[in-house]
Amino acid sequence: MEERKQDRVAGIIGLGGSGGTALITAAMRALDIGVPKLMVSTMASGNTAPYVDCHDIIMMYSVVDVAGLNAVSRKLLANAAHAMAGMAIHQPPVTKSRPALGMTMFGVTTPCVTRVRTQLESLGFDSLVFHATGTGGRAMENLVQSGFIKGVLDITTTEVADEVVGGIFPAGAARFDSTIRSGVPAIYSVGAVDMVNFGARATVPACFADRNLYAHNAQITLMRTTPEENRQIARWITGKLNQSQSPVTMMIPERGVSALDAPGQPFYDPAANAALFEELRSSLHQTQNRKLIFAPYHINDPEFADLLVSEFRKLQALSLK
Amino acid sequence: MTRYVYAVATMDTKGEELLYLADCLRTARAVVRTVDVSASAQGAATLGDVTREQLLVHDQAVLKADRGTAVTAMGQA
Repeated sequence: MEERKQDRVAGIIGLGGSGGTALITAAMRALDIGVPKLMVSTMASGNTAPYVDCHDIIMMYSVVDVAGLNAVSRKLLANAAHAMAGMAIHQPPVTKSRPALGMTMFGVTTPCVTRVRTQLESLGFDSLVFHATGTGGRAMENLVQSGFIKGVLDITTTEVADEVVGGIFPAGAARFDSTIRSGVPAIYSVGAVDMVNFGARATVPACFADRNLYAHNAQITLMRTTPEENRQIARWITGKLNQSQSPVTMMIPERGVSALDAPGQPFYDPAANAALFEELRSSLHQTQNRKLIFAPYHINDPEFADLLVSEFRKLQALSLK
Repeated sequence: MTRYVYAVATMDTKGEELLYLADCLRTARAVVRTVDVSASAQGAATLGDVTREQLLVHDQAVLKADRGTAVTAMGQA
C-alpha cells in the first residue's frame, strides 16, 4: 500500500545532523529510484555510503551546522529548495520508452557483456549495466522490485564469491531474491566467480596471505577462489535459483569464467572450475523451467554472448505467453 | 492528484530552518508538507504538517525508521 501512495510524493528533502541524516535517508531509501531525494546534512562531506547505499540520494553539505538562519544557511537552504523544486516540478522529456533489462559486468567480463548489451539494444531493449560491486547488484535488484527492469542477465555473479568468502563487494544475503520472486525472464552465469575482491594489498586479511593474489590496480587486489570455495558459491546460487517459479536458465562457459581465467593467465584453474560445475550440476533442481546449460566456450567468446542473448529471447518469449 | 514535496527534519531543533526551506519551496511553486521526525518528549508534538504525534500513531517503532516510517506517514496522510 505504501508503494501505491508513492505516486503522491513529488520529492523528499531533509535537513539533519548525524541522527537526522540516518533517520531521514532511511525513509528516502524506501522510495523508488527516480523520486527526487535531497538531503542537506552536516554529514555530507565524509563517508556517505551508509546514507546513500545504492540509491539516487543527493547529499548536500550544509557547511554551517543546521542551527539558525544566517547568511550562509539562508543561501544554501534556498539553493537546496530550488534544486528540489526544479526536480519536483519539471518532468523528463517524453521519449518512447523501451523495456529495460539489467545485466551485471566486471572489467574481466566486459567483452561478453558489451556484446550482449549491444545486441539487446539493437533488438529494442534499454540495457542497464551494473558494475558487480555489491551496491551495483543490489541497485539492479531494487529496480527489478520496483518494476522498472523487465528482464535480467545476471552474467557476472562475482558478488557471490565476495559474499561467501568475505571480499569487499559482497552480494548481500537478499541478492537474487527480487529477481527470482518477480518472475521476470532471467539468465544467470558465473562471470568472475574465480575472484574475490580486496582493497590495496596491505588490507588483504592475513589468513589469505598464501593465496593466489593478483594486483588489479593499486587499490584492488584479487584472490583466486579454491575448489571448496567454488562449491560454496555454487550452492549459494542454486539455493536461490531452486526457489524460482518462473523460467530461469543458468548458462555456464566451460572454458573459463573471466579474462584472468584462461590458459596462461594468473587465475587459470581447471580444477576449481570443475568443482564449481560439478556442484552446480548436483545441487540445481533442474526442470523444464529451471535449466542448466553448459557451453563449450570461454565467457568472453562472442559465441557465448550470442548464446546468452538467444536463450534470453527464448525465456522472454515464454514469459509473454 | 496533488503531489507533495515532503520537507523533513527534527523540528524541535531545526523547525525554523525547515520552515524557511519550505517557504523557499513554495515560492518556487512546489506544494509542500513539512514532516517532524523529532524524538524528544519535550517540545510541541504539533510541529509540522505531519506531526510527531501522527507518526507515533502510525508506527510505534517510529524512530527505528528502517522501512521509512516517514514514508508510511506520508502514505497515510
